[in-house]
Amino acid sequence: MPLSLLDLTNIYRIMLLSRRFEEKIVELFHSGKTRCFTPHLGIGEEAVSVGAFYGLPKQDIISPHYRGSTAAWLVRGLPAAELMSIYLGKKSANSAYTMAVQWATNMALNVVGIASSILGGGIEIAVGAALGSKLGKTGQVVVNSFGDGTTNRGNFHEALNLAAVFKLPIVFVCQNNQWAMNMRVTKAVSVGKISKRAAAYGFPGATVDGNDVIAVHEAVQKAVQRARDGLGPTLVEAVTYRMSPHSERDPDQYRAESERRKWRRKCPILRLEATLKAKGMSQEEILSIQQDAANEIARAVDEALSRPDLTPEDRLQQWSAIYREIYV
Amino acid sequence: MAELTFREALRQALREEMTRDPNVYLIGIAIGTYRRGGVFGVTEGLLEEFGEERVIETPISEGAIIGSSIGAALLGKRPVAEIMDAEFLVTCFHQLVYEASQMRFFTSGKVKVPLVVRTAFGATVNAMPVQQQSPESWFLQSPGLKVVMPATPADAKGLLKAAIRDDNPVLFFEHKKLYDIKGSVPDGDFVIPLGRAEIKREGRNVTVIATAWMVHEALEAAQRLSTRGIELEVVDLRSILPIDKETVLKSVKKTRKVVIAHEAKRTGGVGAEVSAVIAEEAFEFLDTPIIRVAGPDLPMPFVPSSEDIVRAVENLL
Repeated sequence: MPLSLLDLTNIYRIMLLSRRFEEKIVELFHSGKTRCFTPHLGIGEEAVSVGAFYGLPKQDIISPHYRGSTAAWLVRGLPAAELMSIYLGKKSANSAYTMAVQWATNMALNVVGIASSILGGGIEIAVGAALGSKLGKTGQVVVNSFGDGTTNRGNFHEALNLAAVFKLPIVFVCQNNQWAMNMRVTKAVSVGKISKRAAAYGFPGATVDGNDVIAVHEAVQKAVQRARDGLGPTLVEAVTYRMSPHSERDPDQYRAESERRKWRRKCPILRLEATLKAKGMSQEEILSIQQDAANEIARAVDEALSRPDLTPEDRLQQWSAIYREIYV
Repeated sequence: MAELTFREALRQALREEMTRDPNVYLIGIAIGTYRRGGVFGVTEGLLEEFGEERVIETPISEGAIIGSSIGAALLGKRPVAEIMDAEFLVTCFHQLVYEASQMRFFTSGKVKVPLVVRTAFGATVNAMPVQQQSPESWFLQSPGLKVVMPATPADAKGLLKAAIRDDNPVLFFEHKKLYDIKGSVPDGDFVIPLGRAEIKREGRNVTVIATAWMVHEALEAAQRLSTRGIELEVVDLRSILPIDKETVLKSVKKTRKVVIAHEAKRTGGVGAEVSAVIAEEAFEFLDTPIIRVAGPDLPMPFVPSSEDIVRAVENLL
């Protein structure tokens, strides 16, 4: 189904929320207010997560790349204050290990993640969710995203091959931001387009402009339909650009400022804004959405900051209780 | 009661649990049509009986076998994965020690991963250094996992059924030399709680704490020493994560002398952990130092036997 103006407005709102949220995280991290080792942010890459996960039925499962997870959680309806509480190490209904927010699992929202930071583990688990869907005949489709760097890991191959031979209902979305830490994708991938790797598994691969949220959404939706029809997986490569450093501890000295500047002009949010204007949205409406997003994030920060700290002792107690439950 | 081999007892457990719960499925390499059911024949006939959706053969992709099993478990399935040989566990180590074991903690207890991983381990050919590993102690550092090592057909059945019903990931080590041994196995719904050791032979002089095949070596040593008036108490740990401290300490307090026997290498083996538990919690009851009978710190397998256990006991007395 093509995106309506209402959809596009929603998408614009979520992308803005994600951007404002992550900008806030940068500020809070560098002023020592977060409780995470180092945030890995997806500023400038919002179109991939939002485009891929927007509009899926709630029962479908998403398994987002850590970079872009903010947008993914917002798409799934996790309140920004909850997400902020996790980053700030505050008590919340959804608090998992603070660092792990970017790849957490929350089955109430049908979000499948991992419990380590090992890249590619999430692809295998997502494939397993698709296997569970197929065995249980639940009709659920899984949409799993990951970075370009992950496609060089062995478990990418094992997982995509398994999904292919079992014809599982899954869509793989490669969020190619062209940098894996300090490694430029062209030095790490020998086939040019990552989508070409799909040929090795005999399912379709497509490359789309990852800064065009509509293009990402349409490509993923087409693949979701294919998966739902029982025709198996698709690999969608969305080419975007990592405007953030690898993580907030990365001085990011290995690439030229001119490159970043060039991509800043291709900002996916500005691009959608132009589309909305072309569809008749007024500057006042746009400003009002922007203001609402900024206000919502400011409120989320206030709310999160007002919550009590989730102390290491709290965590130790909670996990010790889980340990006792496991080994009674 | 039926007289079954260890292999048949495992198969009976699988069949009963698959019949009881439609969410239980088997997944692994060569578990269906290869010799009608696995390299070691445990799953023989189950593909024909339950069909391809319950007995799933995969490409050689251990990481994807375990990773995908975790994902399916999140959706309410209860996978029983087979990793053909424990040597191959390293190829899915990450999925076991970080993903499967930590998921429940990372979700603040909200998500459980009911997953069983069966694997064949242990030495069958002395000094032949591939596919002979006993890597079980690697997993002792993975809270969230349970690690089970049965030694008899009855335990194989009862513990496997318990493992399949457990809501946590369970690593189930099957010693290759045990597959053909026979023993009495209770019929029907026979379930042994995980994490409980069993005294396989009572004795008053020395406690021998053993796992898997070494339980049988310990029993043989006990028989031999018994003719000389030395009575060994053989404690079969059955689970090494968690360790049944209560049973171990009770026996230690009774005999006051301890030998720990396992096939795995000495350094960092489960014997080291059991020794530490005894030293911490029953030091004053010990009359002699604890002796470990274990594989040497060399590539596997140079494994101890009942002879070594006898010698260790002689040293203590």
